[in-house]
Amino acid sequence: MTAEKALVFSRAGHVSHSAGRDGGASRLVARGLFKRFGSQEVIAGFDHDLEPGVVTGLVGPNGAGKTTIFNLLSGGLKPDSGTVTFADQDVTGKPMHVVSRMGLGRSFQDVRVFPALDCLDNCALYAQTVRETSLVRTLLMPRSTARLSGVSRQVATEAVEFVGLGSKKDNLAGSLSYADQKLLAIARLLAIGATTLLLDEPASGLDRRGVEKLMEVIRRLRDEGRTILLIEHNLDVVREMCQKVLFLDRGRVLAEGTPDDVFARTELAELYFGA
Amino acid sequence: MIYIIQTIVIYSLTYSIAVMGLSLVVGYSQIFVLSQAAVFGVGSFTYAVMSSRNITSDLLIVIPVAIVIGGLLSLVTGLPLFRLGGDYYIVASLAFQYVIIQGLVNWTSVSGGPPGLFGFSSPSILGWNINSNMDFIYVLVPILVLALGSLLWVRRMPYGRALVAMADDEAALAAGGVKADSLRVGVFVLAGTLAAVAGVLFTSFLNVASPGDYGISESILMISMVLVGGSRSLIGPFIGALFLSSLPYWLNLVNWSVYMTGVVTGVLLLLVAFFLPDGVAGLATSWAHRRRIHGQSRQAPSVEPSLGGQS
Repeated sequence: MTAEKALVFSRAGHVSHSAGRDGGASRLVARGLFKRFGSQEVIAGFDHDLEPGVVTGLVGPNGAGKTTIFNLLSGGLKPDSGTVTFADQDVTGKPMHVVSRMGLGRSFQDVRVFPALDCLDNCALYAQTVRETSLVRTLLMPRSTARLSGVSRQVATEAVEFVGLGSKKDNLAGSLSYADQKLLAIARLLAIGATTLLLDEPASGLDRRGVEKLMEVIRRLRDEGRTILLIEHNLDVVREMCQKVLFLDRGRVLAEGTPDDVFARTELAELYFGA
Repeated sequence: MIYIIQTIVIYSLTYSIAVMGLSLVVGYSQIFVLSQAAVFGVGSFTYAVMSSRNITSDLLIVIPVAIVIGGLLSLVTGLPLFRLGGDYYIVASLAFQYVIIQGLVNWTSVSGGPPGLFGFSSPSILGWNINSNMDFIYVLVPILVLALGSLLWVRRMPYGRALVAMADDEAALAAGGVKADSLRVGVFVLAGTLAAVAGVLFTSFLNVASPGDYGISESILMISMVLVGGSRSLIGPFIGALFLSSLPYWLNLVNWSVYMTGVVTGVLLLLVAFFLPDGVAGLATSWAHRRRIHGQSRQAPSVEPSLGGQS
């Protein structure tokens, strides 16, 4: 195998191979996270170990602090106290672009695909290495940059095909249906080689068929041994996908357990549905 | 007449090189830079000093020196971009513009003070003396092609893809492992080196370099070229440079005072701001786009997203 092919193979492995099965490598651990905005305490002590190969659901009423937890875990937002460790490294408050390269990918509630780029480029952007993104290298080492860029496109192609968007890979992301944009957002995380995926409301705004497709993708990711934490309001999805649920309210985890256990507790249902 | 046409061509080619990189800065980084003329001026003085002190007038030596000086200067003035977001950088760049030009004015031993330097030997390349207007055009065209080629290359490569993405959504870019600030500083330095190269060519043609020529109004003129031509296409700045750098000639043709240049530029800028946010080049792109849409059947209405940035 040539060096180049080996490179494709190893990087493509991020997309199609079991990623986090070895456990410790991609374990995400949060310890005693506190965050306040002004006088408002948004997160009041969040402790959790995300287990590899497990889909965990983060549920709770609006304003419970779910997305804030995502921001604390995925970098960019610094907690007032507490630590986040990923793959045995302290990533507390590290910038998002550093954390995501370590294999901790996150999606956004409002999807945020790049509308002016096609599907493949959306993924290739996430797949591209630091070296490819260097302006000096782009100008002074054009051949090597072009070669690396080709590798990224291959990784991107695999990612796009994984979520079933292969036939639309040349379409501008802005022209995709909302459901396809949501799948593309997940494909991007595969392209960057995320072993742990934080998905912010992946099923919101989707019709039944869209939800089915999405669950199929998440199921396959789980079976590959990736770690998934998802925020979701669609409780059917949570029940179907998650082995574990955290119920969050006003920055505190009120309950933790299997979906059936947690949803059976009436006081939580009241909190959630505002009965 | 032929002389005037040649001069117009030389001016517009030179300014095209000077503002070409700026289009990436304005169009994709979405930062306004009011210090481009200062870097242009530093390029100018690089040639003026080297030539008047009889160090060398060979462009093959002067241009790389100017690239290094202009690049370093841009790097230093671009570093605040890491801290200052978009709008605030306008103020910082304004400050750099003043500091650099005042520095040149007061560094009399090098720059010759307010009157500047003039009357140097004509530029050369490996012993070939560049004298006539046509000679200059022969030198300018390959440099322009090279600069344009590099920018097109950058746009096609992952770096350019990241630029397009950055213009849309920085948070999503960071989630993809790319830091927007580094991209910004990168295009900023690239724009600066091109401006410095253009400065060398400008002064070697005019045979005079005076700090006053590279003031704030010149910076505004340069950014106007980008905006009028269209900041998200590489042909845009060329259109802008062609028209605005030769504006005094056109005004002269209709017997208007040269001092009306500023007024006309201002009115043009307003018109562009209101009616052509993607500049003249954007007009052409959207026209072509509309034709394509009409050419297609009506069953594909979802292909509407802004193509302005694609050109």
